[in-house]
Amino acid sequence: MLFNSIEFFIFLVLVYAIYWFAFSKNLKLQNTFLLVVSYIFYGWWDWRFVFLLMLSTIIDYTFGILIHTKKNKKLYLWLSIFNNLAVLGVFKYYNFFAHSFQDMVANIGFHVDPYFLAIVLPVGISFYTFHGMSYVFDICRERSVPERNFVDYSLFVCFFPLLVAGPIERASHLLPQVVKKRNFDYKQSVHGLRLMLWGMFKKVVIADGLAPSVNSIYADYSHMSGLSLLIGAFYFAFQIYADFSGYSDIARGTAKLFGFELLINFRFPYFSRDIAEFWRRWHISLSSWFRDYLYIPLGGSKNGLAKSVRNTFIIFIVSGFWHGANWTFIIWGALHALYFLPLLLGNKNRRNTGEIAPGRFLPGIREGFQMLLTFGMVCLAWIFFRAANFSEAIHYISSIFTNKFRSGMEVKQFIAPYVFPVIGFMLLIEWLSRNSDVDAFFDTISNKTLRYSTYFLIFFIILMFGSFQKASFIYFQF
Amino acid sequence: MKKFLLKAVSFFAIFIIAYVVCLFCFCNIMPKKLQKNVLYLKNSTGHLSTRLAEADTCSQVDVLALGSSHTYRGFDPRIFRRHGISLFNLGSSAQSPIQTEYLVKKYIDKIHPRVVVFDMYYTILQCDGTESALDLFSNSPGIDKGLFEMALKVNTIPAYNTFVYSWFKTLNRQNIKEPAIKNNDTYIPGGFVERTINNNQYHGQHIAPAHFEINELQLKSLQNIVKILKEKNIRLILVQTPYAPDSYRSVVNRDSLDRYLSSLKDAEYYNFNDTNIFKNDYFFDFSHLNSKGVEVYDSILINKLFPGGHL
Repeated sequence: MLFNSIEFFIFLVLVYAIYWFAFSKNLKLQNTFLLVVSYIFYGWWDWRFVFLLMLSTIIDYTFGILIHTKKNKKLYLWLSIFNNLAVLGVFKYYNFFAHSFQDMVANIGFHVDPYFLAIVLPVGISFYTFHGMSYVFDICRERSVPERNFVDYSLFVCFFPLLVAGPIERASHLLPQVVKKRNFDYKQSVHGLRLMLWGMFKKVVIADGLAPSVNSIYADYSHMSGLSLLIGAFYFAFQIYADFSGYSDIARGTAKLFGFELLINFRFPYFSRDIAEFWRRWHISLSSWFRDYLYIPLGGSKNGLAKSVRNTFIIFIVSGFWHGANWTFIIWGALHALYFLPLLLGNKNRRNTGEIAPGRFLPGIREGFQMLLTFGMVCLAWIFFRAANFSEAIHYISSIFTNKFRSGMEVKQFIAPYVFPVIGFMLLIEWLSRNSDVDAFFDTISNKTLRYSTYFLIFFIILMFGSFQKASFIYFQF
Repeated sequence: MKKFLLKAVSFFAIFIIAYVVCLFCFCNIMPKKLQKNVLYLKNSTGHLSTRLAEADTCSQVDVLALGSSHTYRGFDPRIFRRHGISLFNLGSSAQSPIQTEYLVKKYIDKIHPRVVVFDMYYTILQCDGTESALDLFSNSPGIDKGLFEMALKVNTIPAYNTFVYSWFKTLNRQNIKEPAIKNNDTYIPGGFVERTINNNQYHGQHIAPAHFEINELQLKSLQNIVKILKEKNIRLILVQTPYAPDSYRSVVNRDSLDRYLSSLKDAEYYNFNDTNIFKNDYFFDFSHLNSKGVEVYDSILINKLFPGGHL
């Protein structure tokens, strides 16, 4: 079930009404109900994978208790990690390794025919396995205690707004909310609706609006002019941001309607002044996951520069690989590690942790230049992320310089007159919210008529310029 | 909670009214390029406005032709008349069974045909029907319940937006008469649109393979049409009007369409693409017959379906 579908709207209204009107006085019933509807939400896509989700939940639930109660904590932790990675390995990475092995052997003159699995990648598998892993890690490190109530634990893993594309929650953040009685909060609900509205705008107007142009340009990149290829790279940067952050906004907004606060996943990453700041603002729940459960256990930056560099490359490459079983994602991650390197070596990676353009409407010249440079670097890396394979990415980049820069009217087909205004509108609203959050930004509009007019304007833009082709979210595939 | 729900409901109620007003103003002020989700196609390709006006005055014909542009560019009433058969052509651009069902319900008792010929271009059975719905909303003389039901059935934002805008336009109707000749198209009384270009400008261009997949909503409407016509004892003939051979061959699973349509009860089915007669020089693009092609097609069709002028 897609957030941008009529099915989800009906589902949400029904679930919301039953949740608050029928079960508001009984937490157990509320949680059981949310769990059941979460399975329905997931099963809407393919009911068979509900069993895989249940199995993954049972395994981590059991290992959580075993790690806490048994003496040999590390053994159970490794068994749990092995289970989670095995599920990911089979469904997501097996064919990649088999292909890579086949290619590698072919390079030295041998031919092998490995067995390839004909299986569908279950939606959200990377998200819910990482959910489960963070839970067992935290128990092992005694940062949290296992949840004995299976329904409550299952809800922590399967809560429908975050089930298929995050944010990747932590037990210490979400579980206390699951087990605590939730009361209806007017302000929280209003903030939830605002976030959903803004997320829908980003998904339907920006991401889905840009998708056809991006697809056409990438599908025929060798015949496109340099300008069209630059537009393709620029559009994809906004497509993926609007798609994923739009999803996260809708997820957070939906959770708020049910009394939950989810982790913020994006903090306006394209206003970042360097790559280190970009990674503190992009897919925060994943980057902080790798920081806490991979980078720090590896020693972080505390064991000398060489190990610090090694650890940085490891987390960026693993983060790339998390996105998909393809060399393009690994190169995308490695490229970001390379971008990060000068900051790390110069000890400047925490230079830009403060507010952006504090107290000013516009950034300074230096800040503006830094933002543009960072954005340009990110756009270049996105080409690897979007391309079907490494050679396509290289050809795409070289074609920007070798193909004719402008080719007649070609570029016009990719520049509908409303595209730049709607991107500009998104950037304006996000710029005004840059040091807080979009839902909080609306609170700064003190005039009620103006505030409601802004809601109306966003709705109007969605209905006038949105694309409603039931397009799935890009991050579902990860 | 009550306050929240009350405010949300009030906002949506006010929103709907404000949206309709703003939609009307926006479409009247802004250039068409900016109207992404409102496609008001008044007097656009296909002469639907003129055809619907003529349909209102038409009564008692032998054959009623329905379907997509293949219909209004493929069935020439002048050729049928030469064979002693009267024909009215009620085709419209991309007309899918959802629209055909509406037109059948609205016009069948008025036009009272003895035979209905319905063109089955494969795309009309798989599309969602938006394109043709927009054409009908924009060119119908008035908005009625059937068109509203069509908007609900098609269920897309452009369909709703255009429906609302067209409704406004009918309230403030400016009768701009549609010219009989537009670009290379000439409207011929009886619903036919004649294209003056005869050479196939698209021959040789690569056509990507297409895969036919039936849309359940269209299927349901097709079944409704069959039922309505059966109840009225009207002969229903489903045909595949020829389209350019390259284009026809590009439909990978075209046999499945033949199988399905042949299996329909209470309807005859003929595929004229399988005759090997219609080469590329019978078309003016990858899809439509030119005047030479129409002449040949209509003669073959009449001789096959109505031998000796018998219906």
